Amino acid sequence: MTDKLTQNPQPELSEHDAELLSAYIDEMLSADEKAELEARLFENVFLRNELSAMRQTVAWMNALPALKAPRNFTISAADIAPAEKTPERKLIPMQNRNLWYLASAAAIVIVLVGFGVVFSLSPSNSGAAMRAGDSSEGIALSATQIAPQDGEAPLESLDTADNTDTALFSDYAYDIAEQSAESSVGLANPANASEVQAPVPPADSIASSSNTSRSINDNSIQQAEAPQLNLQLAQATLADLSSVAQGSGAAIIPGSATQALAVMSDADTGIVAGADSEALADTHDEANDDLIETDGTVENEASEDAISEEIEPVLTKDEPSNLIQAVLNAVRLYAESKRQ
Amino acid sequence: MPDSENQVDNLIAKARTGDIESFNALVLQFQDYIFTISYRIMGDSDSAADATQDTFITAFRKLDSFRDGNFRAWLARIASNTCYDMLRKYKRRPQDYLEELPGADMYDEAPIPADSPNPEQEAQRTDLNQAIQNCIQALNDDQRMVIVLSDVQEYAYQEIADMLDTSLGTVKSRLSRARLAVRRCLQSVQELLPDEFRLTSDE
Repeated sequence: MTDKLTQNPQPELSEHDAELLSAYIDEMLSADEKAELEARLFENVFLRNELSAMRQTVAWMNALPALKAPRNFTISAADIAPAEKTPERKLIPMQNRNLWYLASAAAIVIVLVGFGVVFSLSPSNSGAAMRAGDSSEGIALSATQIAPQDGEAPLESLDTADNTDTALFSDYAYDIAEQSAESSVGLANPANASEVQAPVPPADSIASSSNTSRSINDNSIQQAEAPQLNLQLAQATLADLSSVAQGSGAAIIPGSATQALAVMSDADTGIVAGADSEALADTHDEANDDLIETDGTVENEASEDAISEEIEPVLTKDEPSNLIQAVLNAVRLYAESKRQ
Repeated sequence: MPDSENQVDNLIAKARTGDIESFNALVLQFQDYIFTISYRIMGDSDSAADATQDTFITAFRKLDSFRDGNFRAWLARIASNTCYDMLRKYKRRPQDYLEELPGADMYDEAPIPADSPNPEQEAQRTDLNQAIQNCIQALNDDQRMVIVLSDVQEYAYQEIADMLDTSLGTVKSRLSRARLAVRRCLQSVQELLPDEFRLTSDE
């Protein structure tokens, strides 16, 4: 910084010296530090001036007037009543974002399970199915972790996934876990089936149910003979899917059933959902209508657009695509496989 | 004064049992003080009022945690924490205050000094006080908290360290930087100040 009036450039006070001066003002220096500084002050005009300026600044701040409260701040009984808890997030998503995450994650989960079904059916890949029970650490989105355990969202295990892809599941799984009491697509622990209505109902009831939607209707679930998902198989197949995907060079992008389907296509497993894309058209609108019924605050248009954008590029371009239907088809195939 | 101290202790004892009226007597006694701290930290009356109200509500709820000692300092601690949380919440930035340098029409909202023994002198200081407040506002939150508690409210380093739950060294360094920054900020606007209030670099 240059002083415009003098020939010599104005030295700047170093941070260290500023701290010394500041502590000196407050008598917070050690005896040695104080002696050393005072010796310097004696010799150094600049330092003396800086000290003087700092003292002045402090003095002015000391002199700031005490202010008067603009009103009385006495409290009432109402002020100290127990604070209202913020409303718990409703089980049915009230916002597009939650709905979208839920739908995406649900589709991912179910599609991957369906993929695992095909996997196990394929002779060349039978070994993969036999790996059920092995560690599923590679995949964060394990079935039990998705399921709500007494309403809590299990996040910790998700974060330990070593797969960066799967780390992204945490958000989705959180939403799923939170909302899966109302959601049929959460791969719930069968023991909690009655509470969360999560077990997947047989394909027949799905295809025929007029209440087909992201949240499969309570009645259809309770009445259906729901095939109990083999959680370990689901975990294993998810792990295998990941390794297959990596082997084939395709990356799983969570949150997009589209990508999952692309992976399946690459792996040449019969394109479970893709082959049935034609079946998607009919119930698309119906499913979305049901979404509205289930959650009156959903903005239909936005969710439709969001879903369409994701699915259309991979599935048929002509027909309206439906994330939910992809899910349901995978479910159907899985149910069928269980009957074989 | 022992009497007033006893009175404060008595009121605290009653308030601990849930006696709101006794607590409110304490509120009336300390609200100017808490409002002042809050205003110096937050920079505007509305935020300061919110912080003041929250401070007293919190204080009542936490009365059990007050160990005998300096009740005013204990309140000040709650106030500074309340303000800190509020600042975090509102994410106020120093840039917001560049518009509020002297010259801006701030006087409508300027809070009233508690006492003005010499109105004429007070009027002369108004420009300076406003400039100081604006320069304090230009500091980052951490520096502002420390300089308000130290130089405006005159708490000791260790007291401040305890209030802000930080170390003595941190208080020292934040304070020195804050003082330097305020001083430089005042220099930059000193042409707006009356002659006698200008900082000079040479004696």
